[in-house]
Amino acid sequence: MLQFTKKMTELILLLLCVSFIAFMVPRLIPGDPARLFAGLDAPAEVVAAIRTEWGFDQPLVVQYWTFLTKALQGDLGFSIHFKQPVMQEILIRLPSSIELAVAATAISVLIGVPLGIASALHRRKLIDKVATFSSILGISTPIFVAGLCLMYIFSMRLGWFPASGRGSLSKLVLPALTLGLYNTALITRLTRSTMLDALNTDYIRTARAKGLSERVVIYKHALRNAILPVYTIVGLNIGYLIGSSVIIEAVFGRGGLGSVLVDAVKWRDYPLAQGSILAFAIVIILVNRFVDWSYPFVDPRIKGN
Amino acid sequence: MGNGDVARIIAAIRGDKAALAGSLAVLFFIVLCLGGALIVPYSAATMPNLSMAMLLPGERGTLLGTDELGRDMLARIIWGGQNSLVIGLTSAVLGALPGVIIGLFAGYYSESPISTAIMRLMDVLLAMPRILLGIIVVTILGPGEFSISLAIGVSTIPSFARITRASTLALRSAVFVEASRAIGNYDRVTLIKHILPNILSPLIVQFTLDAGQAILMASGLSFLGLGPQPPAAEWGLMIAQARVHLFSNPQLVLIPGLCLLFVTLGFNIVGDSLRDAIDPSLGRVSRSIRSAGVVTAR
Amino acid sequence: MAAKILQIENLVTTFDTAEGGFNAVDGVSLYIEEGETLAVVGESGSGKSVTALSIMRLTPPNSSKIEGAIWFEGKNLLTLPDDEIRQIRGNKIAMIFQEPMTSLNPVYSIGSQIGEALITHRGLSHSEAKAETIRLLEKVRIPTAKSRIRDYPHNFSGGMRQRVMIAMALACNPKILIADEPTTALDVTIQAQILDLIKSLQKEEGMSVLFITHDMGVVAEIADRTVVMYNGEAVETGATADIFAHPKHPYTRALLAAVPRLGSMEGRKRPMRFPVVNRVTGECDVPVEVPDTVKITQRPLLEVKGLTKRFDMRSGILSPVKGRVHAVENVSFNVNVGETLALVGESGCGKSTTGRAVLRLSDPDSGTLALNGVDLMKLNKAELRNARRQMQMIFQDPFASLNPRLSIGAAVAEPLLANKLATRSQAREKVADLLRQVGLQPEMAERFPHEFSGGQRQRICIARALSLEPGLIVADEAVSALDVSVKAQVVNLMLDLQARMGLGYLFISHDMGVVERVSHRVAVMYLGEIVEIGSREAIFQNPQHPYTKRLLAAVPVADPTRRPERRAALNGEIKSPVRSPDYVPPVRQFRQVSPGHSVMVSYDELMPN
Repeated sequence: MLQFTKKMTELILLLLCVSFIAFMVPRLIPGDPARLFAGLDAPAEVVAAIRTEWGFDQPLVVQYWTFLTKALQGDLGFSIHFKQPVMQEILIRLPSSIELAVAATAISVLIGVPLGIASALHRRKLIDKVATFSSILGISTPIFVAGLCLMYIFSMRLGWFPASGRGSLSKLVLPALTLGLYNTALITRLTRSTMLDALNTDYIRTARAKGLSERVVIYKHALRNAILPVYTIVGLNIGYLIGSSVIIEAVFGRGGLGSVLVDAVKWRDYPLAQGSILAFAIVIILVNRFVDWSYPFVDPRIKGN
Repeated sequence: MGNGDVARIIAAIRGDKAALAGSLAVLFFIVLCLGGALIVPYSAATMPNLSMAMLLPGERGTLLGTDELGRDMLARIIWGGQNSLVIGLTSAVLGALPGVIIGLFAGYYSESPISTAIMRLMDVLLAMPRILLGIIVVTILGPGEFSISLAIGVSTIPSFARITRASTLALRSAVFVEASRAIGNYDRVTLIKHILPNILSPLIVQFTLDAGQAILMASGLSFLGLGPQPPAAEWGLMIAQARVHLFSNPQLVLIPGLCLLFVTLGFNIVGDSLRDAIDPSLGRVSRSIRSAGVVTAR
Repeated sequence: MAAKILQIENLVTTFDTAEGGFNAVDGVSLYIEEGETLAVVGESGSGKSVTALSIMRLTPPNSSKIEGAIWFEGKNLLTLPDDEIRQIRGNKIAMIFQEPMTSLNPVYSIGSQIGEALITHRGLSHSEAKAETIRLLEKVRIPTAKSRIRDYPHNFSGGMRQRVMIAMALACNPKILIADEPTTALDVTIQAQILDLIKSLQKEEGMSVLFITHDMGVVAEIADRTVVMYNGEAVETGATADIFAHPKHPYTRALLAAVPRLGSMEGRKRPMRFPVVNRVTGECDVPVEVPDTVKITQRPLLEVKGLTKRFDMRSGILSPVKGRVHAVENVSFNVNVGETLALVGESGCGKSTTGRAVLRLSDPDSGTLALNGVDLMKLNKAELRNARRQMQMIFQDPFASLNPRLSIGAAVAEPLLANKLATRSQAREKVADLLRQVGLQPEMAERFPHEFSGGQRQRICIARALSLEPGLIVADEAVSALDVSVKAQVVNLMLDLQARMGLGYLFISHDMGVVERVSHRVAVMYLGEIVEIGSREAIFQNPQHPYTKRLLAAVPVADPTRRPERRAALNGEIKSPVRSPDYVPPVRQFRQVSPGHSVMVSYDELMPN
């Protein structure tokens, strides 16, 4: 119970921290925040109304309090461009980004882990060289270039998948593959090195000295240990993937949260920008915390700590 | 001091064909973009010349063809690359310097509540995807070269702070550091003479890998339209502008795309082989021998 | 003569290195008889562990090559196909390793790791395996075995993990148990328990034991026959008693001469040098007692009173204190000019923390420290820096205590330059002189630490410590990591320097054999407190506190003729100095046994159970 309270306190502190960052963003921009929130061409009365609504003439602490209470009630302000509540816009767009990140994670685990294991087991053989080279290629390729190449080959030339939009599974394939590329490469490299480390440990020597078959030594004793850091990185990288969906959505014209954020910045739609930054931050923190909390179930050493 | 590192790095690169190729690729683009800009006028990269529009590479005396506005692609690659490389490398430096300083102090004075607070902040920043941090900074400063350099720099600080702190912390209790204190050295002497030179290697590796990532990120932000604005040239921006012609003229995407790939690949390969060369725990034979007990570590 | 159960013929094990092939084992032949204990003894790099691994074919297959023949039950183990050697590993020949902390897989319960061997080799079902696992854990004397099989390795102490390893090795009633330095990483009282356990299990099971060790004391205690290895070769083989009584090979003689034997100092007042043996001829010089160096001054060189250092344990910065480590609790002692006070005890007893606190490398919570009558606790930073010149430290790990980026000349000169006591050219001369003093050549000043051996590095560290001409040197396990023969040389050097310069040593060590040799007085620490302090003679010949007695009883004596009859009930683990945050240390009573020899009136909680 004490554990739970502690974790919740930590989570709330983190959320306060990111909400403060999101809160500060429009206030750090030179100029009158009320005008920024109302839109540059808004009439004076609207600016005045917004000023009182958000308390822009109050001290910063009061402003933050107003921001927090409103945000907790689901009020993140009114999008200048879309002319509707920011919250509504976010709720419409968020599922698309999450769907993309989840699909990309699944792809990268399904390809990266087996490839990394194979690479470690056949060290300096052909498969290791291929895997090592393609993974360094994978982390070096800009994802928008990769996305455009896939789009050119598979939808424009071969016509296998639609080039843009969202809704059906076929429209998810190319964006998820592109987004998963970097992550796949990373997981391949990581699995390879943790597997090599695990195979070099004293307890593997013990397992061999016990007369266990190589299969049991590798897949039971080494893999279970090697996979722990991979699990952490996969979890933490969901945040990275959600962030990178900003670019993928721009490439494939998927209207997710990322493209909304970029557009909001370009259109100077500050309420919307602030709201989407907050939404991103909250989702990422929740995912990271969840991975953290699940760790004791995966690694017995952490249990009860 | 440090000479040993440089010698080791040169030796590591020499002994490794991949690393040699990687550093040559990086060097090639640096010379091309910085040197080329001295020869090719800036206007060639920005001024439209519609009579020459959409030439394929090799056509009418052009090496790489022209874009939809008839601007020479080689000139745009040169000037665009200069933008990309300068933004990328500046931001890597902008992130590394404060990151290292923060990390050194947070590692050496790890008990101080201030360093704990700073590292907690770094953890929060590190949990945020770098691209998102970048967008936040651009939101505040508005699009442009300077703001994305700063944006990427800020988003680089936490990783440098982390790695420096971890290495410093590991060394702080190292016996030779303790010995330095026992001898009567000032803290700053201990930090600069005994700790910094010994953590330089992981930092150089990190910087090499990070430079590649910073260039990628700079082009990514430009691709989103948050960096240099048209008519300026920048590889990411060039790709964004060529997207509409992807079906008819894929080379407009491919040329800057490959340039980006090669530069980043170069940095990554060099960084990887430096890490292998420098980190003794990854040393190949020595490790297996140690595990076999030839050197009984007692 | 019993039958030979395992015979090794001309074993050569080669490792590929960057510099080419390296013969870790170079033509070793030996045999093990049924039911006997054969010790293979040697210093680091002698190839003893590789010999053991070669029997099991556990050297890395890609980068090593094993040649020769190893005969076991009529088969050559080196030519068996992989699945047949697996039938032998863990089944007919079992092995335990040096590092109990890392030799068990951290993510599986110990029950499942022991059960694995049973299921693989004996074909037991899961429930049978579980019952058998409990029986095995009881056999290795793990208390409440039944409730512990679901625990993970991290729930066990080092000694308990080694018991788990032994239980695992015994799972299939092996014919041979190979024990590769099984007690090296353990504290001496725990070592004694594990040695006793191996001895009694061997008797019960009738198996043969191949015991790999660097410790002549352990050899004397456990082995029927002994093989001495040096540089990959077996230089001498014979019955243990014969080897100790009449060593033939010069190396064996050198090794034995360098081994401190507990009790050999009986009747001597002052410390004694180790005899030096010529490695080529095997001739031994006569060890001499050192001259009297102790000077009783009006105020002792170092006075420590009521020194206390505690560490709070929290799980996070904002969390409340969960517990408190009473690392050093109300410790008082003096060191006189030219005197060696040994601070002894097992891991976690607070001896190193005391040493660090004396130098104020970590600030004590309370207590007074006075050096040459100057109160160190009252000094400001600059004054402390001045005072530190008077006391220097030598550390345990000579590989870690030198900055790899500084030439050794720069390292030795650093204290002089840091304290602005010499110009660069003066420092250079001084460095040359210091290197000569510690038995190195002045020309070596340009070289870097990695070009030196462990013993040479420790000499460099001593030179560095001496450069400020201190009165006191805190030597924290300064010779513990060194091989026996090197250890003897460094100890001799320290004794010579003491005679020449009148140094006072605070000699922190867990090695009772060395302590008996070098110290004038001894303080025994347990759970952060000094339980007994007195002259070396008093502590070793007339120990009073139960912990001191226990510690001395646990030390293996390098003399097979004095093999102790089974030690009575040396059970129990080393207690932890972690207490609850509200713990208030009780006021201790000391009893004076003789002048200068006092012992803590023991309380139950300080009694080893």
